[in-house]
Amino acid sequence: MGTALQDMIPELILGMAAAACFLLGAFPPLRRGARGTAWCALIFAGAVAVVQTGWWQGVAAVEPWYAAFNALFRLLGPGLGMIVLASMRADAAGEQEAESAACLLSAALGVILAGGAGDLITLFLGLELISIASYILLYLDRDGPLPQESAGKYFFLSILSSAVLLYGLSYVYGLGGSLRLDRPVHAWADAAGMPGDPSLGAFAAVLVFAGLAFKIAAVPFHFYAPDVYQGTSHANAALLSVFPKAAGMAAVIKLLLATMVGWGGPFWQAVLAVAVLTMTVGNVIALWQTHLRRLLAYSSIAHAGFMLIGLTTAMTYRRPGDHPWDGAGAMLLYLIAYVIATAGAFAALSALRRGDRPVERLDDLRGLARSAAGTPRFVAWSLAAFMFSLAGIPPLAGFWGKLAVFFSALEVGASPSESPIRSRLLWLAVIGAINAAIGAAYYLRVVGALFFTEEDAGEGPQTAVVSPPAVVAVFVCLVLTLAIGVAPGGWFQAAHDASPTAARPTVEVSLGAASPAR
Amino acid sequence: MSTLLLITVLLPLLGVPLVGERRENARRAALLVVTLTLLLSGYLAFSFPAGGRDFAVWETSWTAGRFPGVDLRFGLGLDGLSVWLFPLCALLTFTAVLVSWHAVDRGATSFYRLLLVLLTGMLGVFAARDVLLFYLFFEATLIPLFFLIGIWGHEERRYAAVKFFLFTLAGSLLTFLGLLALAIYNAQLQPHGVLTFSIPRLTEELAALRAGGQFPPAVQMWIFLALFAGFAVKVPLFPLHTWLPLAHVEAPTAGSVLLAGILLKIGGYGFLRFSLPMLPDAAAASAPWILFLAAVGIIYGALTALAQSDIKRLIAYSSVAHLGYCVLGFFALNPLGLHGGLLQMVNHGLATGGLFAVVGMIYERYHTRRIDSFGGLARRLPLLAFFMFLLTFSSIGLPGLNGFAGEFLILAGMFQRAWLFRPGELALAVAAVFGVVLAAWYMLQLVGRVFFGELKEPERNAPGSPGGGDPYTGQGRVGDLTAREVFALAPLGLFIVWIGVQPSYFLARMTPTLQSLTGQAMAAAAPPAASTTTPPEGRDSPLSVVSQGAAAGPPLAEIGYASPRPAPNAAASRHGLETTDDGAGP
Repeated sequence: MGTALQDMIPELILGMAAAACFLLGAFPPLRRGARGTAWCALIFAGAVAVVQTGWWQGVAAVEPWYAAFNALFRLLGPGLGMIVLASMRADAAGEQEAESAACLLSAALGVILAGGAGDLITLFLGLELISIASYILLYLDRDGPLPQESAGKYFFLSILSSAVLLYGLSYVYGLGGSLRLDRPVHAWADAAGMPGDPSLGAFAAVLVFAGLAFKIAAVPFHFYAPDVYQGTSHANAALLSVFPKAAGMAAVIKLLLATMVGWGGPFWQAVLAVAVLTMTVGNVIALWQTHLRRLLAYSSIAHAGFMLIGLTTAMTYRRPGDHPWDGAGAMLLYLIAYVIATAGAFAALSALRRGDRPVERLDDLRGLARSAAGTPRFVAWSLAAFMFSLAGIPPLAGFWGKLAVFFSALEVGASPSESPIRSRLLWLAVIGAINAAIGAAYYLRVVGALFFTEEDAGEGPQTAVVSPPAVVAVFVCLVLTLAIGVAPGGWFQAAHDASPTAARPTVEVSLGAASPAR
Repeated sequence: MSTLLLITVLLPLLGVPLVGERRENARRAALLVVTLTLLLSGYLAFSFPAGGRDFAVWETSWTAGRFPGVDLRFGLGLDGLSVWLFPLCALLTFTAVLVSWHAVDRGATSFYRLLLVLLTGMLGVFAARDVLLFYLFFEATLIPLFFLIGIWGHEERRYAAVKFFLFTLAGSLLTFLGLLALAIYNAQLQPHGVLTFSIPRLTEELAALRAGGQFPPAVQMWIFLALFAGFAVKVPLFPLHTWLPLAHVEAPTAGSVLLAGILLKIGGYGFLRFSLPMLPDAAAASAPWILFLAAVGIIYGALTALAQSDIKRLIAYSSVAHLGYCVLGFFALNPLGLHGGLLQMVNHGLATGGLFAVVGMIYERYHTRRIDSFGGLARRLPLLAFFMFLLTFSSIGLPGLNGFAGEFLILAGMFQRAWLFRPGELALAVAAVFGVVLAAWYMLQLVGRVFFGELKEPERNAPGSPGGGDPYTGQGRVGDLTAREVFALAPLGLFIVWIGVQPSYFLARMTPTLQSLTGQAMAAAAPPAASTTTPPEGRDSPLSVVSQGAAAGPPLAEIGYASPRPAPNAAASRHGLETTDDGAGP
């Protein structure tokens, strides 16, 4: 199966490079080489992923959406890895440089594996690769009580969530009799065709969703995020806010939308409630934050809520895709816009330094856009662009994400049909719109700090740009944010191709159990 | 023509890199780009044929054939609604660049670049022929204006910028849902199932659905309310106006000129472009309470303006009142009111935009805007006083100037509506007339105090220091308008007089579009009993009065004594899509 091995080149490179970096860390003279190794591996893996974008075309064994989904996450993993690696400051990582790079590589590998997983075990492996890498990363930063506390908190909660997820996955296997992820599994028909118990299917869906809700930081599993982000570095916070979110969304889509089709029954209403709570809690609490990483943590919670609008819709309603904004496609489009803007924002923050300490509070950004030098001004404008993109203002990438999720909900909510779910999805969209406006308020506070206040001259050191690689990462994210905003067509297509719900036949919608697609 | 329109819209954006680092280069480059845009947009507007509907349409698919089920276009075009508002954007930006010449001293490069981006956004809003493109340009105007207010504004600028942004965004997100809902609802009922975002196509298809009874008023009302949220904030309609005085007062002069002159018009334009044509039943049903809000806004704005001691704040509140007239005209739902409302939007842009520019010029000279620190300025600044008088008279509706044409048509429309069918609304019409009196009161009082009487100038410091002397000559004595400032105001004055003496020229180009777009709403607003009072065919329909008048003489000649039922569609559709039958035949 030479072909199969060829198709796994990005995964293999990342895995081997991660192992190599861990090994290099053991030999002090070689430690410096780890960062370079990581760069080479990420670039090579990314390049192969680009070349192999269409590898699946013509492979009849896989469903088209499944392969496109894989291709998308193969780009996301190394791409985000490079941005986060650029944000890791060489001197800040200090002697743990090799370990940090290795953890980053395994997290990137985790994203690819979660995105490409064809069965439950690979999926779980991908998720755990990210979790374990983040435990180590958080513990590496070990000075001070705050990092210790945040690492401990993350560790125990993450273990718990993994256990819950695993328990749920055992039901998936037990009820469906298959580990496969790429096609719908019927929960209530055993091998002999005997009907099973539908309530067990809903139980499995609840457990799976609860386990994954931790990864994507959805309410009520979000409590760790602000503390953990605050207690770590910008680069680690970037990693925590994009990698688990991407892998978690991949897992949610694969499990709940592609595999456990129709298992949940009325469970979609719980997802709706979680979506509403997540958006509202994240956005409202963020209004009071002055610590930048806490603010972005609540922002990351709120965006999970927006993506869950797409999940809610996709769990209730499917029709053959003649437009790019079905529920799962909307989640993916939103995810892309979110990870670029968030990773870019953290890269911008990590590029800055105020005297001998990192930029951590809103006040540290004061007057950055008015500095005399060009680079701080560029960083300030880019940070503003990321904030506007996260707020969903056109013509930036985030707008299309918002458009997609609102559209997906309104497709039912504003339809002329008399479906009983109609009014709920309509209100979901309205609450989402109100939340988008609330969210804009705190993003504007960041922009206001950058642009509308004078730099407090004389008192204390000025904010300066110290990390050129991070500035390059900021530039890349800025270009992507603008490019997606101006020419979204290709990204619509990518999200649409990768959506498991777009190409499927209509499923009857009801308040109770939906019947399976096939 | 079509390519020219595309070039005009994108020209300011393409001009952004031309704006250099040094202030002199920056403002010259900005002036050059804006002047070119102004000439092009003026050429387009004056090439618009009388009786034409769709003009200079430029459309291309945005999804590049990827999704056959989605009709999403990058479509630009002018029609009767946008034909005058479109060049007004460039005209007022021209004024804005000139009034900022000396006023903006720090960060001039960013200032002029943002101004150019804003200009593209504004032009795009009025030229967009696609729902998403409209919304895109609509929201994209927020960012440059947010920065313009927040960076170059006055003392309370941060708060003003954030409040402006959040108010507008909160409203417009609901509008966005409403627009998506329109497209989705339509696509799911059409046999072809294509999700179209094209505004003309959507209007046409929704009209067909409504004619077939598939677009019930209850559904329309929900979508209407969603659209209303954003447009009413933008207009702004009482009680959603609270962001306006703050933003107008705290913005730099250029920002106030554009905010009052153009950005407020987007709300009214949205009513005319979306609410009335696409949701006629809901528009007719909700007209009484919107009229009520508009009348309250007129009186409230006027009374609040009377109480102000700051010139800029007074003019800001007068905007609340004036925009109330525009809404009053639209929701009178008859041809007189609609023509008047649309014309008044242009008038208000010219007059109030100009007034803000003049206030900026006074502020630049004296560094205060308090009414009681001035007196007898007409003697000191005769040229400035001349423009102030002209703009004031336009604003209070002196016959012979543009404000009269607009306000008269609006009030006539309102009285026609109230007189014929709705005696209960007569009170609103009377209140609106009372508002005209109040407007004359507060504006003339302002002019009287500031420009007449004893010469009184604020204390000034030594020449050359901040707040001291003439900023240009460095002399102790404040000088009159410079040539640059005259250039900033003269075009506004020209149009104020032109529209005043020949409104028919401007109205004639609106008529066919207004007729075809709002015919259904007008028919829905006319009660069934009205048919008994319908005069015989041929001499009577006010629409035909206006359009005949437009061709042959002043449209104000014959008014009234007719039902507001629209005439059978007489629009000459020269370009583009066919006109729809309005379902209001005799």
